[in-house]
Amino acid sequence: MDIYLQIAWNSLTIAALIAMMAASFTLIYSVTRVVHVAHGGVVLASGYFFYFGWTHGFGFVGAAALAVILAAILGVAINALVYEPLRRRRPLTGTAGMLASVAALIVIQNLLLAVWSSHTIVLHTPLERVASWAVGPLVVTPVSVLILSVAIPVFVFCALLMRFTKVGRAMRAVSDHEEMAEVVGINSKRIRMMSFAFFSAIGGLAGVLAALFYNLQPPYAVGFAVDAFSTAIVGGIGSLGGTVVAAIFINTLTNLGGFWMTAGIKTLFAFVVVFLFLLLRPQGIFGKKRR
Amino acid sequence: MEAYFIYFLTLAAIFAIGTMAYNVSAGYTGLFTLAQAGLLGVGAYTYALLTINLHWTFVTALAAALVVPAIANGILAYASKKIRGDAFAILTLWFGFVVVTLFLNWRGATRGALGLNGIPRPEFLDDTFLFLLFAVLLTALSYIVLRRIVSSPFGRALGAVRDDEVAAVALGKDVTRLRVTSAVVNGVFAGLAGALLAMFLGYINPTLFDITLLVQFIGYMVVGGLGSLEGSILGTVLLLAVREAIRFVPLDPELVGAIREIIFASILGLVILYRPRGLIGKVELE
Repeated sequence: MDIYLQIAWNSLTIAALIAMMAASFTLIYSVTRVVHVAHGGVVLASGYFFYFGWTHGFGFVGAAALAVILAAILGVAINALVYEPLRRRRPLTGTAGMLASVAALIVIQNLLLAVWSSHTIVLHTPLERVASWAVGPLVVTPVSVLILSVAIPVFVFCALLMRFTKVGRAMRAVSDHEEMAEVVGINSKRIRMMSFAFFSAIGGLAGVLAALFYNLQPPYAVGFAVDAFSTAIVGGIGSLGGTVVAAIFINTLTNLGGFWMTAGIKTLFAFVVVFLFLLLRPQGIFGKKRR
Repeated sequence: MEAYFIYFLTLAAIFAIGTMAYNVSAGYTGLFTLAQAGLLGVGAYTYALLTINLHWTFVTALAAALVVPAIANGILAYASKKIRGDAFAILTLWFGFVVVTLFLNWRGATRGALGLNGIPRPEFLDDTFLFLLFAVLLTALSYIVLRRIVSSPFGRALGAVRDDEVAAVALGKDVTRLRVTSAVVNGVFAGLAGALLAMFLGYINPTLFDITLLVQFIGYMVVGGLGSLEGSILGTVLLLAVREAIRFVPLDPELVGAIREIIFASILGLVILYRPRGLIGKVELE
């Protein structure tokens, strides 16, 4: 039984990490309607920025702040260089935005490769020196505690931001009906830019935590993107709560798959279950039926 | 130099099959999947695993390499009945990723990241020139078959699904069935391309079929033009030439590889932005 507790805890940690990536992706999607595949690249780049800051004397918090700021700038830059020019030519609802985003992901991934090479980078931080704690039958690592203690406030922050602030209300307005939002005086272009800034920063925070939890390798960009999207569609696009539930659901499945079967089959197992789930409930766990 | 030229043309012929196949579902039917590299991977690994581990003959293994990706893609396309638009595309991207992860982790059969070498092929294909002829012949055959399919009444129905789904339904077309059929056609030829690639290289590993290959196919198809088989051949040859030319830049190979992907992705981005019809496409990328 203890092993299942441990699996649950590990799944929760990874779920918190991936839910941060997925929540930032799903909020960008719901405001801008762009399938921002390159978000995976932004998340990974942030990990590399953190590594740069950490190895150049910025300190732990300083390096994390640097990474988050650069991630926000990168997100805004992608929007300005790729999506806005496309948007000027035609509405960004089709596949063009998504394909352009895949291209942007490849550019980011290979820029990281060109600068930091394909070698795996393992971050050495003071966290390594803190021993794991034994909580009852559970082994709890410092990184997993850090992940949860960052992720939970971030979700609360996002939920409050979208619900109660003026910017959040404007974002929801643009998400619901862009023209109508423009009519009531919301500058939708500016709101899109702010969405990219805010949510790329949150993705960047996830990237820093992921760098601490795993390590750094250029191909991870795609893995992060795929994790973020699959979680977002299972949760129901645009639903913050759904994203969290979906992240826990998928990662528990994946880890159970790895435990029951061989590790090799766990991603396939999770994919098949999610595939069947989506056939029954295409709008996701908490998603609204599309008009 | 001649050997290199033969290598380039053979690779172009094999990739052209994969691009044409992709165009049938994405260009002609408007069913935009992001699993093309994964499908080639399934074809390549099916052929390699069956010949190496189970000692199947060339013909039976090749047949299996056509059937398995076709079934996989058909099942994926069926999901488009329920899962629409962007979510469907994301699901297919995920599928491609799962395929690569499976090849990486199913070490007992695939030897993981080490890849499989010594993939058997019929003796006459050991001659590089004969292999080139064989590949070109199959590309020509694929072109003829696919041309017949897209020009048939069935092909026109596919176009109706792409242009106006509601109207197609109103005319009594079974849209899901049309989509699944076009995905199966794509799967068969993508499998053929994958198996040919495995035979040609004699060695495959999982990362051959990752997102870099997917972006190659998107690039070949979009630059050539959606809804044009000739465009797919043209796009493949031109862009593969660009990719191969960059290889000769005298820098550190890893850096050259990164630069090559950045240039390729930038070309794709510019074409999407400024020429959504590609070179000779019939349909605009939306």
